[in-house]
Amino acid sequence: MASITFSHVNKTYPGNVEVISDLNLEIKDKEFVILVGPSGCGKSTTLRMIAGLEDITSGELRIGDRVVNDVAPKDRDIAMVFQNYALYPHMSVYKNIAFGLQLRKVPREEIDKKVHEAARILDLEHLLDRKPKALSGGQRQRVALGRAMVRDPAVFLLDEPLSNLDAKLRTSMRTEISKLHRKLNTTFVYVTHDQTEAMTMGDRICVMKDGVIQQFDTPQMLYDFPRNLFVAGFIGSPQMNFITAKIVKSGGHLGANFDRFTLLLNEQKSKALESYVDKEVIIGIRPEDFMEVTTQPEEETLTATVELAELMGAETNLYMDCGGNKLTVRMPSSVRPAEQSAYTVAVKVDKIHVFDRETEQAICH
Amino acid sequence: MSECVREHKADSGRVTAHQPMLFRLEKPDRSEDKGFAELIWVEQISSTALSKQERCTLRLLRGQLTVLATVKGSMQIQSDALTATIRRGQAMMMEDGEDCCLTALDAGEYIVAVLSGSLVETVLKTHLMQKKVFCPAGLADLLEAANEVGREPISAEQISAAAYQLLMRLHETARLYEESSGYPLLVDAGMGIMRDEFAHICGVDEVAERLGISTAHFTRLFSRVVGTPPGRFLKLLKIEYAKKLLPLPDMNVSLVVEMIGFSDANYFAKAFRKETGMSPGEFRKLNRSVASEDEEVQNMLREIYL
Repeated sequence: MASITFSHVNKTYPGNVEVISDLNLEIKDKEFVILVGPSGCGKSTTLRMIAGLEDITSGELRIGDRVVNDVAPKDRDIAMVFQNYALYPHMSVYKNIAFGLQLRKVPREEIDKKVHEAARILDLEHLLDRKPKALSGGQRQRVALGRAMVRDPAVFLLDEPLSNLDAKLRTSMRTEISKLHRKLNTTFVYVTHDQTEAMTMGDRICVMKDGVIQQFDTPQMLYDFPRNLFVAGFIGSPQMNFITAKIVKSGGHLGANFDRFTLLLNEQKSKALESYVDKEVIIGIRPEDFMEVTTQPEEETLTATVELAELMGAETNLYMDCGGNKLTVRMPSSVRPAEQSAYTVAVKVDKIHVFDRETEQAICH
Repeated sequence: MSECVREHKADSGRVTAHQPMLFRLEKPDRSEDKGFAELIWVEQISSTALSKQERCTLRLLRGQLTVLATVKGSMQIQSDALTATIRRGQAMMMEDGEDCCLTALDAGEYIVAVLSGSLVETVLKTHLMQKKVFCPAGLADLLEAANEVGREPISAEQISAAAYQLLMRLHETARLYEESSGYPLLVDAGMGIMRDEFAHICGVDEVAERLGISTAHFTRLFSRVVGTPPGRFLKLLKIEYAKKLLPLPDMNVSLVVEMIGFSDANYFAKAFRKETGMSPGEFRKLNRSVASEDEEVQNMLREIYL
């Protein structure tokens, strides 16, 4: 069993620089968890603490039932795939994959069996005699994965493993790694700053900022119910639109008023926002939560100036200005309004997210 | 083409770092050549050897730029304005108008070039006031200038051009050094890659490739600024790590060779002997230790098992 549990873990660097603050996180056995966040958010430090490459200042870290605060990396039953692959240029693919086992004095026959098995799974069998220099980026990455695999670790740690690959290869390696996780059926902890990688690969995603977990949830929950403004802005591409609006009474319901528009809020949102009447909030609307106007009433539409219409293939991204608020609106590719002209779009008002302006926490979704 | 008078020249042919030399270049008489000398001129280039702890005084004339580069050993420079130590390959542009005292920290040799002219005075006024005076690989620039003015025959124009080139190179490397807290960005980045990943990179080619420049350009730039070619820098880095790893109890020579990314054990042994004067095995025997205090070595040992 290889669950990973952080209990009140802090990490402070000399000079009292706190990079991780009271981290509480439970990663289940065989789960694929992504640590995601902007540079400096503490995601790599968290991973390195699991690996034992960073000491824990205070708190407790368990792998399975064992407290590993003071256990050496080599005794933690983990394997790590580094961003730069860390392959040895003078060794063949075979030797690179085998090196870790040789260090541990594993019998030669067993090493041979494991290397060939890993090479078969990763489609590296025909490359075993090559040196890393003669491999493509994707192949090098697979060798790095192979080196981790032969160890049969209880936990795989992957530190931005795809960041050195080009965009096309990254997409295919994403699928490869997801497949590998299913095949190996062990715990994967994966660090990335790329929210697309996070959304497509993880069972659960831990969004971090300034050393603090913002939300730890499934991709769908993060997308539909972001806990705060940061998560809402970080997950989703293009980013969620944010508009400062005033909550006003509008008939039997409440509305969100900004510029010359008042967007109608449904009963559930109206109830949650009762105490915010006449106060300012931040409303969030995802670019994909707009649609073409058909029969919607006026209080479900916005009219804004199209600054740029960007054809993406299957859809068009409209970059609009709505009384000073910059909006990104996703429309079907058939929609091509003239640039610099006014265009009216409908808002899926049920999908509006509302955040407290002061605390930046979500009020309702 | 008018030929200029040199007081003395040690040998004909190429000037090398260890060759004693003295060029004193008289200013031209011909009116058409005077302009060059007035703009910028090499007054003299000379070399001096000092034994350990020997001292000498360097006279820094007003309006002239004196550049001092260390050929061998380390030199301590002391004047009212500055106290510094420059090592082999490095150079320092000195403030004019006062004398400075040089002390050889170990037996050594230095070259001094003295430049004059209106352009030099302008540089002295601005450049030196900003304290951009240290050139990490200034020796190479000085030697190149010495080679240039050592050619025969040579015109006033060529001497002036050599002086200009020397000044501009020193100016550039000193500026880059100050601006990037050490080295120009590319060199700094290359050095970072080598320091962080020395065991895993395929030589200087890979470093240059990752920086998006040609190997030749990177090698030239790195050598000029650092004073050591990047290939040698990388090799020395590996040997430094080998020296830290070899004394540890779990290590043996062949494992160390693999860990630091040397392709061949014999080549490693040869390179190691050249740098330390003993074989890796002898070094291990003489320096046995229980554990490494070095954090980078500790990290390396942790990572290797992951």
